[in-house]
Amino acid sequence: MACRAIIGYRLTSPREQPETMLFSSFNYLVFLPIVFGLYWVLPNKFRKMLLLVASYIFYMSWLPKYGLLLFGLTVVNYFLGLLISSAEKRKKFFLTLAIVVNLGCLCFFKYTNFLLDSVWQGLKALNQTTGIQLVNMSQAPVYDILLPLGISFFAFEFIHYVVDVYKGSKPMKNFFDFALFGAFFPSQIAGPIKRFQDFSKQLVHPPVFSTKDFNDGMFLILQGLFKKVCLGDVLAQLIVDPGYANPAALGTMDAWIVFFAFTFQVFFDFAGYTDIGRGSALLFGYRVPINFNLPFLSANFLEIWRRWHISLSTWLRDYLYFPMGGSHCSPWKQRRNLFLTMALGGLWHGAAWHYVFFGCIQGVILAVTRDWQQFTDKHPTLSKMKPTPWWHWSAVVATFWTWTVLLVIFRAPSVTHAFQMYERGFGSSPAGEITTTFFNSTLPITMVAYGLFCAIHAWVEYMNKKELALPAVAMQIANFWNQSVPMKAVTYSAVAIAILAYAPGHVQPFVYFQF
Amino acid sequence: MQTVAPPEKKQVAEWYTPGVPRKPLWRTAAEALVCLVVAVAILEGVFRISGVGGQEFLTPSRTLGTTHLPGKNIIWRMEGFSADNLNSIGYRDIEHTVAKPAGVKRIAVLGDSHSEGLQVPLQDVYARRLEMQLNEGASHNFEVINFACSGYSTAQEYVQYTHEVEQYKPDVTVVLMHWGNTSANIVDPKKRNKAQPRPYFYIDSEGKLQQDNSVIDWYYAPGAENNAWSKAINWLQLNSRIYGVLTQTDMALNNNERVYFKWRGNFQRVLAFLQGKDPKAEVPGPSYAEQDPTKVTDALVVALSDKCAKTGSKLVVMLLPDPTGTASQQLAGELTALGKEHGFGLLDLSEAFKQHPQQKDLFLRVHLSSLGHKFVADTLQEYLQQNDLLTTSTPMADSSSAGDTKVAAKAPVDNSEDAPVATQHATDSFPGYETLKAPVSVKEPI
Repeated sequence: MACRAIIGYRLTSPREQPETMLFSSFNYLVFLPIVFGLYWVLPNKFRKMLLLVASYIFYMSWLPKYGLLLFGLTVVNYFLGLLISSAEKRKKFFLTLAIVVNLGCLCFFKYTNFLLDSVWQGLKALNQTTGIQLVNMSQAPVYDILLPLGISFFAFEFIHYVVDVYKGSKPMKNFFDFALFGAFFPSQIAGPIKRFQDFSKQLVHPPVFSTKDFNDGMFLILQGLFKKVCLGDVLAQLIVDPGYANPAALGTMDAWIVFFAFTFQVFFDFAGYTDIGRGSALLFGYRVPINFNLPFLSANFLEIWRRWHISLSTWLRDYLYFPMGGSHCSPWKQRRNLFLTMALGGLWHGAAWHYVFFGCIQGVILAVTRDWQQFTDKHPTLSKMKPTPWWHWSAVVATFWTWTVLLVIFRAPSVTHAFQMYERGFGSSPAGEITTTFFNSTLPITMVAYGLFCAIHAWVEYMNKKELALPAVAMQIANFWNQSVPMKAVTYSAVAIAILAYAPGHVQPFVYFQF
Repeated sequence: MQTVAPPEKKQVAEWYTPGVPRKPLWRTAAEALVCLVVAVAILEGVFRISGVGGQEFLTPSRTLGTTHLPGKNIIWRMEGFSADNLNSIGYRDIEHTVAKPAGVKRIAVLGDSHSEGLQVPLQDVYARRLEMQLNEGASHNFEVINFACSGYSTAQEYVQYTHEVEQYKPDVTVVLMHWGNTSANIVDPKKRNKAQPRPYFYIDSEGKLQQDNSVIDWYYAPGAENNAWSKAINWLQLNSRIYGVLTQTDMALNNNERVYFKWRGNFQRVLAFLQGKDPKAEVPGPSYAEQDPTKVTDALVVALSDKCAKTGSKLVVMLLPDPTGTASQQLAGELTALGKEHGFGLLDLSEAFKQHPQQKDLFLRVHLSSLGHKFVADTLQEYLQQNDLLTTSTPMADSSSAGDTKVAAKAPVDNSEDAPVATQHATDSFPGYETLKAPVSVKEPI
């Protein structure tokens, strides 16, 4: 009965998603400063509790009853973690139980309808080919199950916890610390998928206020907001959504703008979310791992997955690829392991066949890339060419282009739809509205501005790394920046106004919320 | 040897860089001022170059509630895109002289944001398209003047006709309406303090259409547009892109964020209280019974039709399709009947839109797309041609010539200044309809 109450049983039409407290919404703009102010005003012993309460308020602002689900999973994993750690003989049983509970919840909420639909489609196809009446329904059965926000992320964090405890890590003894690990609002909805060893260390030493952390946090939040609101949201509203909604209206140029727009949209959206989350965590003195490391500069697909959604790829590596044997087995088994890891990674992204298809293609490409690398390493001429810059940059361009083309399968609502998009992109029809819209929008300016920002950032990093002196003007500005509170306040305000200026009328939900 | 453990270093909050002496207050203030000036200059420059913050284009008016800022450069990105200037009088149109050139037939277009068409370039707006299409391959025989302004209700359009449109002596007046306009024509006397400042109308106990200007009077004190505050705001509206960004954000948040909407309302009430206005006090104005928006709208259309007829213009009401369908059908039905009675034309676009092969592409999110504007221009042109409104030159009628037309003797007349309502009904028969049988007063069930 309780289950029925939570999922709202058997409705044929999917419900409208309730509103959530998006990082880029006005509600969060109010929520974050309140929690921040209270956090540093309260005595140290109450701070963790405040963060826990704030995290549950944040989560329950979306759908209060799903707070129970998060709490329930936290309780179960906490006790199972303790049992795994203390049990002498039944460790494996408790681990299996914990994995079954976490994956069971994830599968129930995320894959029930997908499974029912797939079985129904299969039976229907059999019905048509054999004539045997196996299914007597005009429509596939649909359960009105609303996917709890962030379940894919916190379920993976809990699995990581119980597996690592099983492997010998010390479990978290304090329940409230563990609950905060599971619910920490800056990384609650779309990661990064944290490692409890890193997080619990930060809980032991209570953070003190640091202006450096505050400045770094503000910088990350504003950078994340710019990526999300001024780039990701505008790309989505003006280019990607209208483009994918009506492939027939796309010219060749339009289609390619749409393809590239989605590549950038998903990056800006997710990297923006991560930046805001990491920045918010820093305001409270906590550090959350990075999730992106210039992925579009990757020279092959193996590298791209080391730079893109790092916390997920490392999770898949540690808890899926390695247990299957990883690369310590025969070449064919290695290829199989890569393929299965990526196929399951694709399925993790969403309950639809086009995600599985996307994952399978990634698996094949990774296996081929590894073979190609081994071949070029052994080949006398190719091995000499490999270290040259032109080889590297050609590989970067080819990798980015292929990644963009493959993401069409990821974004399109179905594989058929994806092929319709490819048809437009590889055909030859005159440019339509999308091209005009793109050049009329603020996107060329904001994207160039962001490119310049990245170039300056990379240049400063490079100069620091090489221990080279920056030009005198840059040094003076940097010194003034470090010493002047008014300059910081004015700069933050100016950047905030600039974000408002280039923001679209409507706030878009984060792409990764659906996963 | 006894060793003493070093005292545990206590972690302290780092509020400032240790070892760096604090700056005197005047220096911090000077730094803040310089940073602020530099930041404002940079933002204004960047926003201007990149074309943002130019969506501020309305200014308060004691007559109409709001009007366009003359000559304002608008860069519209909220839905669709356009970047052009309002003309020197403040219409989204090219320049037109008030005096009508000889041999030219004038069509006045009244309406709200759908006719204003900020979502598409000026040359794509249906009024401009219509003028270009009518003058195609011929000399300059037609002028289509677009008086439309965002947010205008039928009541505002009616008042606008007297104050602005009439002097241009249009031969045909086109009003683009939709169901949403009707509710903006009336105000609940108990909720005037929450209403938008604009002229409202009501039908009094004697069945006469009356204007209620109380909300405008409450919002804008006489001469308020000339005080220093209003002038400063006007200057910012015309010249500051940062101001434009802030007002645009305010509008977007007010429309999309519930919490912001609530807080903003509370803030405004506090502000009103500080200005000495009791936010809960009723706004002074005439008291009247609850109004039916459709009836008031019908009466306004009839009154506008009469006023047009008096000045030698023919009224054509265009109805935009309504997504819900039913409400629009009801309004169309009523206006068709009234049109037959009062001699104005009705062009209901619902069916035509439904049958269009690219129905989905006629609108952007809410407003007409370029294709939609083109379709409206084509449909309107066809309608005007079919009803013989373009071929024959109608002799201009001044107010005295209106008397030549048949006058509704039954209609009650209210000539007071406060009630500039049409209560007399000119009976120019509308081409395509039967000659008017009997004029009806607004007392009659509408």
